[in-house]
Amino acid sequence: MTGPVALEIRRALRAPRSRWTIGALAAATLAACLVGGAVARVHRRAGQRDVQASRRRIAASRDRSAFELAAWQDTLIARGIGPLSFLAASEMASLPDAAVVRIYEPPTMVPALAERSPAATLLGTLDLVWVLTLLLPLGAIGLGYDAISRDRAVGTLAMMLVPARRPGRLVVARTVGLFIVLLLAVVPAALAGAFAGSRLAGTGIDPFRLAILTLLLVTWCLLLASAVVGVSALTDRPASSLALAAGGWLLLSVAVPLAVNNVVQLAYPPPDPRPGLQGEQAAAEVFNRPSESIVETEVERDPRFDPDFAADAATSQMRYYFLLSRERYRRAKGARHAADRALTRRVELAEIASLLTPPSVLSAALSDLAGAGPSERISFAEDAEAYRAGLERFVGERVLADEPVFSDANVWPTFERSPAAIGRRPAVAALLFVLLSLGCAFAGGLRLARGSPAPTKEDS
Amino acid sequence: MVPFLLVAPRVGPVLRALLLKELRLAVRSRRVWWVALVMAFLGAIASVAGGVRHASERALHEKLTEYGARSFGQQRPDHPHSIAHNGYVVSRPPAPLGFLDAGVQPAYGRWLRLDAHQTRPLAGARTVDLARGPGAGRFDLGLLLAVFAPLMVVLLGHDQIARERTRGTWAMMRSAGLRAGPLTASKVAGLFARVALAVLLPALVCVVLLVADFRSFELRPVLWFGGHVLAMFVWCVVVLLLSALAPTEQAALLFGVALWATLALFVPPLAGGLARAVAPVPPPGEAMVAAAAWADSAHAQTEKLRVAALEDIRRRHPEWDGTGDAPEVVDAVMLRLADAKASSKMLDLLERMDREADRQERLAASFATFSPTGLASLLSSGLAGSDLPHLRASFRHFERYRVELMAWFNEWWAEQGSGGFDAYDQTRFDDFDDVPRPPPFWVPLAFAVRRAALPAGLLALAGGLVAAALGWVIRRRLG
Repeated sequence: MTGPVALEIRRALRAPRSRWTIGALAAATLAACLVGGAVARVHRRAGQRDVQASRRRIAASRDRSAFELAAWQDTLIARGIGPLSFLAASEMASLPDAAVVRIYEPPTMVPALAERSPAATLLGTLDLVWVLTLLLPLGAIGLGYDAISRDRAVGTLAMMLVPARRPGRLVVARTVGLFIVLLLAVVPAALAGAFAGSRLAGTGIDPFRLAILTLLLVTWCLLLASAVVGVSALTDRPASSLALAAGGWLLLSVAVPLAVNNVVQLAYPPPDPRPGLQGEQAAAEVFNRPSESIVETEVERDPRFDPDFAADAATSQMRYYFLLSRERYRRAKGARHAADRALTRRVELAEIASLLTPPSVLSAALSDLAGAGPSERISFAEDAEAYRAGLERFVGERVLADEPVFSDANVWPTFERSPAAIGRRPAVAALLFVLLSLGCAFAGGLRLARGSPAPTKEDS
Repeated sequence: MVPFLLVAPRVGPVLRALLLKELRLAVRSRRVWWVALVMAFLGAIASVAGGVRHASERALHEKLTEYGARSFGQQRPDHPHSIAHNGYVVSRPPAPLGFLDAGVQPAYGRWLRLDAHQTRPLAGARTVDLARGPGAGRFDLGLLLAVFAPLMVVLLGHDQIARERTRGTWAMMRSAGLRAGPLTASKVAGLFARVALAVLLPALVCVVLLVADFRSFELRPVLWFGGHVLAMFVWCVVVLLLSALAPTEQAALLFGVALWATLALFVPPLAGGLARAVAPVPPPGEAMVAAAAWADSAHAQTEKLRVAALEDIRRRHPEWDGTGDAPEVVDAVMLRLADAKASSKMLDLLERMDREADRQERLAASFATFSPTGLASLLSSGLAGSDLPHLRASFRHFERYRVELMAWFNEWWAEQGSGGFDAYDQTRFDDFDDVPRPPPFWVPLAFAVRRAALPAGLLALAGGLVAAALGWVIRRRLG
């Protein structure tokens, strides 16, 4: 077994086509990591600058109470970026870099980069996921579409099968040869790019995530190699195998993800904004047209904030508006309910749809690893809501203490997020790729064992 | 160039014969009809996807416009200043040819409630719908023609010259004394005829159906389709050049696919990524904090502002000697002056942010000029009215209206009001018949043509250069 494999590896590495492809793919991989890292840094800095601007304004406010700062001013919190975020820089453009928090309404996401500068949206953003899902399969097809079909077409397949003794061995040997070429093209460049990209992005290197990235790269290369060689074994001519492999790439890497995205959009169209606009207006009226009944209800719920217990008129008014802010929050949350629910359903469906093709499985697994998957939007909104609740408690304590002016900006609550835990998706993806690779190799071997190695009549 | 050569006395007959031969082969080619079938299928999907989205956007725009007018006119009695804060719900209409090319529309907001003192961003951008891949997840005719149709050109034309050499017919042409000019022109015309049959004709049918459905009978769709025809021509000469340079048909196909992957799938995202990394746009939160600080200053009643307001009233009412009640509400004049200052600052900030975004866009566009696909995307969205400058123009349109509305309210209050919010508890807003309403947003075709001129010029230049290179290579091959 090792003889034919070693022979195929040597043959694959010596071919000029392989050398050119290795060089081109390695350059593309490295470029993708560097561009991804630089884009991730831009996102990190944008979030940091937003937070700093907000805290500067809090520090500059001399005569405002904590309630006034939390209600009439924006407190900005940054989403932050996780380790290996450079992998999926493209997705980060559609995620908000920061959120605006006011205690009387759910956190509002600031416009994402894609909204502020959509010019680059038209062109996309190069990152490692882009190279692995769109360009690497094309490279594999270019290298291996004639791995077996060419021998069949020129009549040398029978000669190759004699020393191999079992037809499956030829398929395995050719698969390993192509796999090694793809591995050399991508893995060293991706690992070097991971260090450089993480450094550029300003995030640390997480060895565990790096190991998972390597596992995904290796299994993805294995799947591509076995699929291309399998297709080559299944067809009679190089032109047929090229057409089949290219068609498969177009279908699995481009058409199905695009179609799924459009189907998801049609299934969950944006909700009608009019009820939300009306709801926000109703929420705004809580402050614009204060109602005594609302205050009475809130005092019954939490008597500590009764305005009558305040030290003076100013602090009494603060308690009054603090109680109103709770009702306003409930109304604002209700106004956004339909949009939030549609977003949650949309994200759930997108996550399910990402399981449809191997490239979208890889894309979803790497996005998870980078902390930029579809659920990141919801996860950040939940974290921001937890911060808002904490800010409300912080302000509530100062309102109860009848503090007229907030003076120490350093104690204003800060927002910290730890990188999300890695889910099961990358491990499941790697396992799926291995199983699919075995399936492709088996199908190719079966075709060689059952079919005739002779060329077609026309080729003869 | 080809029409002139066709009637030229010396080369005309040979060229016409070669062209007829190429056309005959094109019509008989099974590959052409297969590609036409695939293109028709994809074109139908793209038309439905683009048409459905555009129709829903248009319906939403109409609903919101009606809602904005109704909710503004039916507000509860309130002080004019509060009403100015509540503002007007305005909606951006979809791009004129958004059903053909949605451009960057999915990433741009659609509506907003204008606030008197604050510039608010448009809301309703569907960034959650943006997906990885060309076009960020949308699938319409613009994307199909700019990104995927070139692959069909590669499939149709990779062997046009390479096959002549592998089958030995090239040597026959050389021995027949065929000249490079007519041969180049016939090859280009032959491949373009195939592309016209297999790619452009199905796309044209889809465009005509969509234009008829949305009743967009104007020059714009003609120019839009013409732009894509130009891009297809460039791809034709590029593919023929590859076919002339490649040693075999198989190599020509591999080179063609690799070139397409590089120009359509690698260069544009590289350009987009580099532009984002090298020319980042300012953070939005920073601008929001600045805008909020200026908006607060509009309510700050400082002594300095009061003095300025009194001077303004004296200037406008020279008969008032400064004693007794002022002819205008001083608070309202103070607000007007502060608003004007805040608006001026805000406009400066917007100008600066737009300049940064323009810088990023220019950088992305300059990188994209290396790819016919990038140029075709810019040209297509520019003519469709769905590129960034068109959408930004819509936002500016609403911002101008916001300033006008705010000024009107402040003016009214200053001249007719008596101060004090309680006085307006029973005054219905319907009384303000003269209040300015948002004029409909419309951008002339000339704006779109100016936007598309540069990519179109670069495409024409690239086509000319590659055609000259093709002629030179064919001359060398003919010896």
